[in-house]
Amino acid sequence: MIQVDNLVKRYAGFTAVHGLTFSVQKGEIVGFLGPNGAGKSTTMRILSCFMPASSGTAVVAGFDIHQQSLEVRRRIGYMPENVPLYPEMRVEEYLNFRAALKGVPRAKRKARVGEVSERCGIADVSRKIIGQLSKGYRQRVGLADTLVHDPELIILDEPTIGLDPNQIRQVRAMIKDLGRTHTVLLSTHILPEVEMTCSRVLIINRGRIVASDTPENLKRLRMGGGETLVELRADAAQAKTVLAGLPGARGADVESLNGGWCRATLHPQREEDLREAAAEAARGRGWSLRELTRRRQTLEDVFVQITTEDD
Amino acid sequence: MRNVAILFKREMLAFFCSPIAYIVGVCVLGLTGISFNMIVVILAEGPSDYTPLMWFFNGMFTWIILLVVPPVLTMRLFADEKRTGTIEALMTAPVRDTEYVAAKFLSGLFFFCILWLPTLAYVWVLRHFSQDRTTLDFGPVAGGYLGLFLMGMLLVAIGCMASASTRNQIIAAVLAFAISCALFFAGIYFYLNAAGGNREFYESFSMLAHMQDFSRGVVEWKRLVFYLTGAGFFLFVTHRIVQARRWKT
Repeated sequence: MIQVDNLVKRYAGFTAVHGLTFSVQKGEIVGFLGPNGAGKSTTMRILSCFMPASSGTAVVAGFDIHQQSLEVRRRIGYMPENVPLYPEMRVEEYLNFRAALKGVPRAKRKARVGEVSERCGIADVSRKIIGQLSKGYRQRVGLADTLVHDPELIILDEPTIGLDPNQIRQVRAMIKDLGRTHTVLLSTHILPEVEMTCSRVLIINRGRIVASDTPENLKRLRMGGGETLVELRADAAQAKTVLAGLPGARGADVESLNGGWCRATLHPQREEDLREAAAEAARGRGWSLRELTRRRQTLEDVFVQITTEDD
Repeated sequence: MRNVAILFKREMLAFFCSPIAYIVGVCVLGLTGISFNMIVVILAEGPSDYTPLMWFFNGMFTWIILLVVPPVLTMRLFADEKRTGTIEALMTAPVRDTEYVAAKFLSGLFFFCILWLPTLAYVWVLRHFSQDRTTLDFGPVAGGYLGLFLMGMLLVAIGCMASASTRNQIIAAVLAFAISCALFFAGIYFYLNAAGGNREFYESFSMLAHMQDFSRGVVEWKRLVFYLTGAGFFLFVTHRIVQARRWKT
């Protein structure tokens, strides 16, 4: 669906995208992840034919973005960051206008606009003026606009920015739902979003792809197993020697707390689960135990690790 | 072509939704009304060397409208799309840059023409209530309005170019006004100061001189060519500015 080859975009003075190469298969939901200014929006603008790359090529939906830009634009639905809309138009008017521009035949226009309004939950505001809508509704109008001509590929730039938690959930559910029938490329810097919605993640930093895999694989490959957190009533120095000596442990950091308690963080050698061993050790020495958890690896850790690696 | 019609329709809606259009409309009606009143007063005093149409189309108020209104009408057209980012949604839909420019220009020109429609009532009033039916000839009326249309075309095209070159509407309006005034006053200056053989050359780009011809019912091919090529030139530049976004740097 998308085949990007060595894409470069230079602005006056700096290079936003350095030789990006990646591909997206039909039916995938791919999350484009990166810190602010990493080149996400630039890449999406290039793929949606808003501006050309300085060099390199990309083929979207079977057409070259530079040579056959109109054909590409007929087949994609692109929602820019901040969702620009005409504030003086009514929702229905706007969607009709967009459907007409995108070549939905007059006879089908009304049905299509009704369908996407229903799907995006804006059917009840279709007579309202866009300028008077809340941010959440505007976002949904933007989403309805990207879907109105039933595009093969949907490109969403930060689709949940500025929404409240409920709305974010709704939009995510909608994106997941879309993924069943469409190919979706979305950008975000909210990590749980990628974990929840995407089948694959592309992490981009300073205009380069630094990782590309499923969210699960990324977490496993980059971080190994998680640390184990133990809180027990024992002498800190003693606890440290015992816990660090457990089979599979690489080391332990221990700090004293009030009331004779101490908190230890156990680092595994590879991916070992140290909880059972730690519990056994505490029981064997008659130490009271009040907390025992294994820290879950989050994509955030991976993200921070990857994007700060070359600093 | 189909896209031009779709975009044109939206632009007209935007015009009629914006307060500026109504403010401009009221000002135009007011100024032409004063102008009309002065003509009636002059006519009531007895015979004059000039026809009422020459008074009307060459009057100060007509020139104020011609120089001020197009910049105000066109300032929003391109600048606002850039400022609000709607240009991004628009240009990622299957729309050609030429269609975009054409629709914007045509909507501006069309609205400019609508503003002059009420003045046709003055023509009717003069014809209907004057005893001398020769006061108003059809030729000069048509010529005068053709002149307005042609000048409107050029000035709206200048406004489009100014609007396309910035994201700030005020800068767009001021820039368009400055270019229009430069054209207008340079035309007058050289026309009035040119001696003998050069006169015809300077006349060829003096809007004031053109309007004097038009309002006498004199329409020359070279005038049509001047305004058509002028508007064409500024639209070409507008298109290049819009397209500059697509240049590989």
